[in-house]
Amino acid sequence: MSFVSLEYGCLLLAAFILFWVSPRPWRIRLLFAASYLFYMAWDVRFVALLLASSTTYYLCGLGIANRQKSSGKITALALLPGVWLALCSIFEIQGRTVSNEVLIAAFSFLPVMLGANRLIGKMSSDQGRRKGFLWLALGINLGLLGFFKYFNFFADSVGGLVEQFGLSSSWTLTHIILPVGISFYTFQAISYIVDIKNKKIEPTDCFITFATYLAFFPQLIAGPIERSTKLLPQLIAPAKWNISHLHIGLRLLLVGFFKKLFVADNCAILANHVFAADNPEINTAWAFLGVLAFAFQIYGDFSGYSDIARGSARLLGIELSLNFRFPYFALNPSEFWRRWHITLSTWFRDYVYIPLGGNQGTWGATCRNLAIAMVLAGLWHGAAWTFILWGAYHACLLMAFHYSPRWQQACESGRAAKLACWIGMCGLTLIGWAIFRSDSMFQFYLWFTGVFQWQVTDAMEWEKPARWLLLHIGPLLLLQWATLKERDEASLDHHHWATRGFIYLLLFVFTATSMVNDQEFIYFQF
Amino acid sequence: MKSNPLISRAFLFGACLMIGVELAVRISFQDNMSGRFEYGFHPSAGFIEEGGQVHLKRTGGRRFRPQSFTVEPPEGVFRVFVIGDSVTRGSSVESSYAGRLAVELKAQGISAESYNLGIGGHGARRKHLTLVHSLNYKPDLVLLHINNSNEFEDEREFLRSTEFNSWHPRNWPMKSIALRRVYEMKTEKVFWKWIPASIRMSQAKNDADAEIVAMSSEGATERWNQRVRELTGESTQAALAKQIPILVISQAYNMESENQSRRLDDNGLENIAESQTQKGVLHLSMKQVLENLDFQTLYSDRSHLRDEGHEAMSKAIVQKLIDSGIVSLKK
Repeated sequence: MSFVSLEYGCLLLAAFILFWVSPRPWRIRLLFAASYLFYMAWDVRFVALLLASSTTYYLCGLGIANRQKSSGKITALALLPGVWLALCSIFEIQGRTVSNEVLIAAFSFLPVMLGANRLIGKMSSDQGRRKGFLWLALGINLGLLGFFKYFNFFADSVGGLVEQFGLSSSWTLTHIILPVGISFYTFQAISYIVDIKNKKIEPTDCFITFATYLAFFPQLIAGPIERSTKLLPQLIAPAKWNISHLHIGLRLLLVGFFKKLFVADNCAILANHVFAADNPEINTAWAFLGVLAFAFQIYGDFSGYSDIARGSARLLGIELSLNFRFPYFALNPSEFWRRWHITLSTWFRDYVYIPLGGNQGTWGATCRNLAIAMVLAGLWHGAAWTFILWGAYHACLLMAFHYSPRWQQACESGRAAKLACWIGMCGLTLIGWAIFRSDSMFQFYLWFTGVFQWQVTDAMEWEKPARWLLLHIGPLLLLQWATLKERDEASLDHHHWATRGFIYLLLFVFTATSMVNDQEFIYFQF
Repeated sequence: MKSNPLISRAFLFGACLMIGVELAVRISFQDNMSGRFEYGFHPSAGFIEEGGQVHLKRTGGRRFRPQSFTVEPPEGVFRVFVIGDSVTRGSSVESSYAGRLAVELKAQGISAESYNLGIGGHGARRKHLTLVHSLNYKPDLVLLHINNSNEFEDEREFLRSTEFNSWHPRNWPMKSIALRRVYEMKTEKVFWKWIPASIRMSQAKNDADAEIVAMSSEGATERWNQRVRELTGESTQAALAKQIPILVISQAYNMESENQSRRLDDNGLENIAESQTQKGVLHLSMKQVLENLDFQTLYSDRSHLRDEGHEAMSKAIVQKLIDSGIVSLKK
């Protein structure tokens, strides 16, 4: 169920109306039902994974806080994934089939949870019990993430390596389907369990509340990755009705759809051409045009998605975190990561980089910590060598900035120096996007060599497509200029109401006249 | 404490502005509104009646070449309507065989007026709708140029018309003429001109590609010929019901033979037209008219005629009318 679909519109409208007319205690149940209905629309079988993750983190969270649940309740919760898959199999919901092996694996979740709960619960040391439940939750869920997201990649890589040595990798592997949103909800759950372990928050006793926290439909598929300290209190104590929820929600939806439909989908036409497999026509102009188009495609796509998610949540009185803040105005890599996919970068900072020691150690240790955090961030985006390279590339940029006082000073100096920093950072960002967008290392090589090919006989003319690109990024840049004073890219509060009305009209016209292409959100694949 | 209104002033202002622009565009492009969202399937789009005159207009729903005639035919003037597609339409009314017909008839001493109702891309379904409406203006003869190369387009536009008039919200914004015009301007003036064809074809849902795929499907021509047969039958019956004679012209295509030479191919249309002939229904084969001439010089491409080709066709039509007695019977 894409955000750009009638089904999503109906779900959001129904959730909005029912949420505000329901008694407050019922609202969390309504959000739970809506969120699971939303996830079911992708593939009913994946609900079992979501239930397994929710159950593990919920029980382990309680275990860490030494709030044990009865065996009956643990049994009931741990049976949920298996029972769900059995129902899918019996009634053939959405025509999906479930193999016996998968059913056995799902039902084996029960003895694992019961056994682990009993074993860890018996530990005499409080510290040991806390660590035990933490590692149980991390082990099960990172194991699921690793299996579903990276199994094919590592199997293919090992196969390739074996063949390099002249051996035959004759094994046949089942292609594993990647469940949508798994990277996002796994990270959100990790923040919950680690925060309980660090005594930053108390676990919730209500399973429905926790399951909704993990599956809250506006941000389930592609974030923002919320922290329990921000989202859980809003779910436990729903906001009171205020007309500003409707106004802000609708404005965010309008800006989000504009970024997605007008900017991203139209830029995609050029980016997809340049990064098409083995495109021999790339010259300097097209290489630049393609990567610039992709830079605005991915920004429009993902920040548009984030705005739609924030707008949808705001209609339900829930405020989600900012995910983007003018990232292409950054003067250096550090600033870029404070502006781009903010909830992911702060997650890696808080749960990987700082626990590893951050920048408190030696030069080498800091570089190591940065490298680990950024390569993992790259790998989080997808199981491919290009993503790993992209992460490593950004790690190098961060290290270079971290240990370059001249660069740091230039970012704080006069306009000319700042302009030079901005131009340099734009160039570096574009190289990063070329790595990110390439389907393979070979394709990146083709793009890179294309940058230096001034004349290519078969290359198409690029001036008119450049105009097309400018036509679609110009309004976005104007919007950003209009909101530059605000913390939120989508906020126009400081403008006169007539100016805001005029901008809303323009955004609506741009969006409505671009509703032709039907492109999926890029970040849904992560 | 001051409470916020349900609709913010900014939203209200934006909405009022949109409504204002919409009203202004609707008033400015009033003529263009006829059948705007019917994709050629509106029964009377493009026929604008004003003070006893009928104006054929290039509207959003049907893009006629601009012409005018009286609602009631002038006394003693032989009125001919020619219904067809881009072949009939020609490069201008005057140079098309439809426009030349009146001149040729006048040269034979017959007072006549002829009108070109050809619209590019129209297949049997849309031609039938045009023909049925044109019968209200009491022609003395209707010419129906049949073809089978526009059936895919006819079907596609029919589906679009049906879809567009459905309840689905994705169609709502485009029901605004202001948004529609911006969208069309963007598509036709920007997208088609600024994005190279190879990129458009490889990524966008391209009508031309879809047609090629449809044409290559098994039995496509057979199915389309069947539709042309049925609708030509309905058209002839509609004309006969009003006792108006009809001349069916079957299209011929300028094809390349296996030995690289050119040949004319009727693609099964002669058979369709011939099967309709009866009292009041005549058939003229374009193939038979042109194959005795140096036809390669008469075609501009596979289907369309040069001005010389139109001239040859108009002469042949007049001869057919005289031979069949339709003209002499009337005058």
